[in-house]
Parts: sequence; C-alpha cells; structure tokens
Amino acid sequence: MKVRASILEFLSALKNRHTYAIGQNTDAMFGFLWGLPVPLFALTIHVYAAHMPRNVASFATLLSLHPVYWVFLVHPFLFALIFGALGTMRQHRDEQISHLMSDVKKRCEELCDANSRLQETDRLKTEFLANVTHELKSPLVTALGYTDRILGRHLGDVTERQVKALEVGKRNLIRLRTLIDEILDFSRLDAGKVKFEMAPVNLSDAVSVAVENLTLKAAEQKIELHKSLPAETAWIFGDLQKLTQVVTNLIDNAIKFSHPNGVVSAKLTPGGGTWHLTIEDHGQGISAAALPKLFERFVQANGSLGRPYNGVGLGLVIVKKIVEQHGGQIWIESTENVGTKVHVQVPVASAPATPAATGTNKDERKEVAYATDSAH
Amino acid sequence: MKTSTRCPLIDATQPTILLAEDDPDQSEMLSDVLKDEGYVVDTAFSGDVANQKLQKNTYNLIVLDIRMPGMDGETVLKRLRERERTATVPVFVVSAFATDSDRQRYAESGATASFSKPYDIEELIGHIATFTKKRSAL
Repeated sequence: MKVRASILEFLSALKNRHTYAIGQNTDAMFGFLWGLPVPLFALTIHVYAAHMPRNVASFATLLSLHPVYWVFLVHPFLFALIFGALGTMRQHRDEQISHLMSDVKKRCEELCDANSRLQETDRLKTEFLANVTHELKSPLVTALGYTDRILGRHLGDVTERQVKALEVGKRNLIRLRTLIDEILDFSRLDAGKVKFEMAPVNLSDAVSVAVENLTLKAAEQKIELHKSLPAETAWIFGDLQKLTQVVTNLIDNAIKFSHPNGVVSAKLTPGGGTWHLTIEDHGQGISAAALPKLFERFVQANGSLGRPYNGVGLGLVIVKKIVEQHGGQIWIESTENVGTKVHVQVPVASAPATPAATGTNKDERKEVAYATDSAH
Repeated sequence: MKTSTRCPLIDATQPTILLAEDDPDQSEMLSDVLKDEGYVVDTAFSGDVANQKLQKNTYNLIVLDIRMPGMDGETVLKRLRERERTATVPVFVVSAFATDSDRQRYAESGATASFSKPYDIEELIGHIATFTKKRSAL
C-alpha cells in the first residue's frame, strides 16, 4: 500500500510542485532491531520543475517505526503467558482424554465381566437342565423296567390283585414321565436350548402325521377325527417336527376335552399370506374367565375341576412358543359347554427351488440355533 | 462269529453283551433281565472300564450309557468305532438325553440305535434280540 499526497495551492497552480508518498518499502519490508522485526517504510518526495511538469526529481528515504524499548521487556512475558496458557490447555485436554480412555476401558471391563457372568449363568443353566433331566429320568428306568418285567410274568406268577396294583403304579409312573418331559421341554425352550431346523416344509404333512398318530387314541375314546387339507402344498418355512408336535398337542387336547361320540376336526386353509389351521372340538369348552390365562405357565383351564388330566399346563405354553418361533400366532375361541376352536396362523413361504430341500437333506436346511445343545 | 480264547465270557451259543452303565440299580436290572433272556452279560460301571474291556474282549452287542463318570459314553463310542475289532459291533445308546439333536449326534458317533431313558424294557430287549440273532447267524 502506498499513500500519496501533496499540498495544493489553488490560487497559483504553478506553485504545486511537490508530492509526498509513503508506503511499504519494496526492497526490504522488514528491518531488524535487536533481533526483532521492525517494519520499514519508504518516504518518497517528488519535486516537479516549474512550468515543466515532466521534469521530476525525487528524493526517497527509508523510515522505520521503532517500538518503545519496554515492549521488548514485555515480549518474553507475553510469550511465556501465551505458551503457558496453551500448555495448560493442552495438559487439560490430555487429562480429559486419558480420563475418557480409562472410563472407556473401565466400561469395557464391566461389559466383559457382565458377558462372562452371562455366559457362566447360561452354562450353569444348561448344566442344571442336564442334571435335572438325568436325575429325574434315571429313577424311572428301574421303576418302569421292573414293573414291566413283573407284569410280563418274567419274574414269576402274579396274582390278579398284584397285577391291578402294578398297573396303577405303572400308569402313574408314565404320568410322571409325561410331566417330566413336559417340564423339560418347556425349560429347554425357555432357556433357548432348542434348535429349530428351519426349511421349506408342507404344513399339511404336520397335520396328516398328527392325525395319524392320534387316530387310535380318538377311536378308543369313540371320537371321530376329521381332517381337511388344501389341494395345493401348504409351504411354510419351519421345523416340521416341532410343527407336528404343535398340531399333535392341539388335537390331543381337543380329544381330551371332547365328550364321547364327539367330533374333532383339523382344517387347514390359505388366507392373507398365511396358512390358517383350525382345530375344533365340541367338548366342554373353556370358561370366559379361564380363556385369557390359557397361555400362562402352569395354568389348566379345568384346574378347579380337579380331574386328573395329564400335564402341568405347560402344553399350550410350549405350543405358543413354537408357533411364535415360526413367526405365527395362536388364539383360542371357546364357549363353555359348546366347544373350542384353536386357531394357528403361520406365514406362507414360497416353494423351494429344488424339491430336495424339502426332504431330510440336512445340508440344505438352515439351522437356527440359539445355543448349542450341550445337554449330555 | 469271531471268538477269542483269551476271553472266558465268549460262548458261541450265548451272545455276550457289554453293559456300560454307572447307575448300579439300572445296571443290575438290565443285567438281570438280559441274563433271564439268555445273554451273557459283562458290566462296566464307568466309561474307562468299558473302554478297557472293549480292547480286551469281544462282544456281540454293547449297551452304552452316555453320562458316566470319567470317560463319557460318546467318547467310548468314538474310540470303539476307531478300532477295527469293534468297528461294526452293534451299539445301543441308552440315555436320558435323547432329543433329536442328541440322537443325531449319537448316530454320527457310530451308535446303531439310541433309546431314551426311561426306555421300554421289552422294546429294548426286542431290538437286542434282533441284532444279536443277526450277528449270531453270520
């Protein structure tokens, strides 16, 4: 930057012969004084000859602005102050970072601890389940085994009264076995120890197998068992064995709560992107009060009747868990003394690309494992 | 049938069964029942003993519990399948752990069949009879 000025005489223009310019020195912008930079300025005076404005003489001189001496005394303190402040800020930031780091580390350790505690709990749960399974089932082996041997006359003659007594004993041992199985099934499901082998399956197969399994039982109780299946394949993505268990359990319930000469029907229909299974009986039904509690643990609708049905009321809870595992839902309609309808809805799956995937080809099945089954 | 002079238990007319079961009551019951049915029964109360006996003696069939102190049944099973002399002997696993995945694992380890405890004794004996007769006929 350059400032140029002159003092002008308006009355006699010829007297205007001087201009003054002051600006940064172009050769050396800074001079040095005691080792510190000092800005240099150049003052240029142009003098014009009278009547001949083209003849110019110029005089230039360098000017420098010298700070007062005490500024140099203040400088070190200023620097010290600035660097000190910067240092303190930096230290403060480092402290904050290290504090954060240690906090993060602590939290990580806490998480690790919590994780290993969870793993330990899970391991203990698995072990506990395994122990309970073993300890509850083992005594039944000899009790049932010897009872059967005596009843089979392998250990000598048995009187009719003895047979009757042993048969009651055996029936109750079997009842105990059913209870234990039910509790263990539930516990294993609840603890996430059950592996679902998911594959495209035909839900009709589950219904057919369940009906087939229970035909004899229904006949014994003089109950007619009907099934109605769709013409097309009812593809769903699921574990066929567990689904069969669901349908069997539901039909078994329907038979159990039917009156003699009654009819139990299982109907599978498509609808709204789902397969809809309805199992209907015309038995004693469920009271409105008991209906909402059916899917709670250890609840039996007829608990107050005191009739000794097998099971501890975990059957429906297990069924519900399995249905939900398939992304489906289950609900019950019932009117006391009229009958019960159990509805199960499972999402439709597209047919598998290759027929091989539907069979027992294990390699092509997708295993959904929640925890490895290590009960042994 | 392969017989060994070293083994006093072997009798060509009576199939010999090794019963590997740690529960004394269960072992006693099953061994009584099998003896009643005309089998020669050798018992092992632990996996290690079963493993040793399998290396020395020859059996027509093995009834194997899974949960035993020391070496468990699955290990015994894997070891015996690795040895040539017992590679094809029928092994019936009897265990309280008999979920589908358990059974599949036993089958993969080389079990001929698996029975869930509490098993139906008559059914078990029926299967043992089928398998030992098949073996005796060879």
